Formats: sequence, structure tokens, C-alpha cells
Amino acid sequence: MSTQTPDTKEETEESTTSTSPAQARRMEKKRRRAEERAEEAQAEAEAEAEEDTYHLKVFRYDPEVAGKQEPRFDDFHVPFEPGMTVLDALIYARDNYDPSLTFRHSCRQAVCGSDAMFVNGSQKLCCKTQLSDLQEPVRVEPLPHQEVVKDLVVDMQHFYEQMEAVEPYFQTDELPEGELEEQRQTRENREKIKMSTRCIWCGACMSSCNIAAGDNQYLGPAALNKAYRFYMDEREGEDVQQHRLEIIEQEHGVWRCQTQFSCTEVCPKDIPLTEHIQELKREAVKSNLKFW
Amino acid sequence: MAEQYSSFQRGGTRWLLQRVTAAFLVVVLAFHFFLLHFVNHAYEVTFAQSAFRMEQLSYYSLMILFLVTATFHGVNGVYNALVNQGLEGPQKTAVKWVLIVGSVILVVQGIRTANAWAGYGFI
Repeated sequence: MSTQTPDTKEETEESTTSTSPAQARRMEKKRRRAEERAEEAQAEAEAEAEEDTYHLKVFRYDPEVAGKQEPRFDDFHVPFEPGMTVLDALIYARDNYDPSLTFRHSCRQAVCGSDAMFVNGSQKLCCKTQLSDLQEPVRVEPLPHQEVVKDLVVDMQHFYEQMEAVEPYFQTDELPEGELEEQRQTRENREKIKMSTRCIWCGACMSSCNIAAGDNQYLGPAALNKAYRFYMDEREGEDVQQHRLEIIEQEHGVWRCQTQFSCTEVCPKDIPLTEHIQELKREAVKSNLKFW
Repeated sequence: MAEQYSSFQRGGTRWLLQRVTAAFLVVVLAFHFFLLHFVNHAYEVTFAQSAFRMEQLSYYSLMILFLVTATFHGVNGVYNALVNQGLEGPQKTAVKWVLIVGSVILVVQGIRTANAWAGYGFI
């Protein structure tokens, strides 16, 4: 339906009723009252919106844009809906207020590990962090201890290098006999490595670790957890296990962990990272103490 | 990628020793504080008493062990804290040797003092 139609109708009505002065006054009064009502409704809506918005302070930085070379915080007031996550709020802010707001996100269901950020002073996966659990203003910053590329995007290269260093893939020299036979794992063993398989490579743990912050050679909690996942998998042969142990027991491997537990605290998948690292330390000590 | 770490020594033994000495030191430190701060008060300490204690072989050997483990625990702890902070390259080597030489001097001088006290002669 055309938006022009009602206007033309009103105009014709006005022209027909303008003949009687009393009628004109009544119409004038009516119009004023309608205007007042509209103003009131608008004020109410604004007040409501004020109550139901969340105040986000978002870190902004872009070395390629003159006005953003100096890091700063931008304020966004995002209308709140029940169930809204920090990622939803960021998406809303980008789509409605500032299309240049840059952040990584993909699956929006805590699987891809793209949107780990520093929210209100701790590493969080934005897509599974409810706004209603946070105090206002919600400060959203890029992950600490990594170089900022732009706004909330950090350089993950170093993190990926550490992950690759532990050879995060299944290797074995013990294959089952039959050609079509499956390589089975016991239920107990599966249970043992279950939590360690949940890592989504978001980098929150590495960013929270004080040791990893100061020591770039330290493998970090995520990589060590990955090493744990394969070291503890009993389908990998002894030679491969020994090879894995040699990687993790170097000076900047497991020994740098000071059992600070910050990685375990921030892990969005609740992986007991510190415990896994401690278990690897014990394995390394045990293998080094063996003299028979 | 793993090759880049291959030049580092294995740290397992030092890590284990740090834990073992910690457990030992907790007990010995408790004994030390109990004996030298609560039983014998600072104002009561005399040379003769200290010499007498050191003359007992059990006390003497405990003190030597105390000296060696405490030195290792302290020096290894400081070194590891610095490595955690990202100490590397020639500075790391320099710090390592300063700490090793320092701890050797400390242990040697400690043993000489204990010997003098125990009457084994000031070697």
C-alpha cells in the first residue's frame, strides 16, 4: 500500500470540513491533543528504552585509520532483549551504530572459538556470556597479551604456532591387524581424555596466563592440553608417546606452569587445564626417573 | 615446529627436586623456628650453646642438609621466576652462572662455619 494514500485523504477531509469555523476549532483541538499524546508516548518509549538498554564500552583501535590510531573506548547503548549475549550486543552495535566496529565471530554457539574477548576484566567467550550476568558498563576489550590488529581483533599467529608445536593430531605406529578393523579405544580411556578434547582453540587460557605473557617460548595451557589429549590416548604407540614427552618436557614446556589456575578459571569449555598440565609433569618425572 | 624447542634441557629433575626440597624445608624450618626462636630465645643465645649443638653429629648433619637444600630451593626458585618472566639468551646464561657461583660460595662458606663451630677445625 502506498504511503501517500492516507495523506491525500486527510487533505481532502480538511478541505471539506474547513467550511465551518466551530468544526475547524474542534479539529484543531483534536489535532493538538493527538500531538500531545504522541509526544507523551514517544517520551515513554524513550524512557523505556533507556531502562532496557545495555551500556557497552568497546575498545577501538586501527593503525590504518588516522582518527583511530590512538586507542580509545566507544560507548554503545544497545537495546536489551532477554537471552542477549555480549556477541549479540556487539553485532547489534555494528549493524545499527558503527559498521566499522570489527570483531571475529562465526558460529555463535561456543563451537568455533572465534570470539574470545576481555569482558569486564576477564577472558570470556562472548557468544556464551549473558549480558544480564554482567555489570554495566560492560567493557569489551581485545584479548590481553596479544597484538591488536584492529578493534577487538588480535593476532593469533603465536597461539597457533604453539598449538602446532605439540603436533595436535593423532599419530600411531600400532595399527589393528585386519584391513577394515576399526582402531578402538576403551571407554575408560575415552573418559580420561574427554574433557581435553573439548578445546575450541579460542585462546582465552593463553591470554589469561601470566607466565605465557612474559615467556613467549612457553607452550601455554591450550597446547599442553592438546599434548595431554594425545599423550593419554592409549591408541598411540610407545614411540609416539616418547616423542610427545620429549616435546612437552623441555624447559619451556610443562615446567613453566606455576599452577596459577587462571587458565582453568577462564576456559569456556570448563577443561581442567592446570590438572592436565600437572599430570603431564608427573608423567615426565616418572619417565625420567626410570632407570631400568 | 617442535624442533625449535629441542635445544632446551629437560627440566624434570630440577622440578622434582624443587618439590622434594620444599617438603623437606617445611619440616626443617618448623624445627629451626621452634628450637631457635621459641625454645631458645634470641637474647639467651650464647656461643657455647651454639657450639654445643653443632658438636652433635645429628644436628650438624641436619644443618648441612638444611644449608644445601635451602640454597638449592632458593636459587632454583629465583632462576625459574626469572625464566618465567622471559629471561633468555646471554642474560639467562649470565644469571645462571652468577646464581650457581653464588650458591657454591654460600654452601662452602656455610660448611666452613659449621666445621669451625663443631670444632672440626677451620678449613
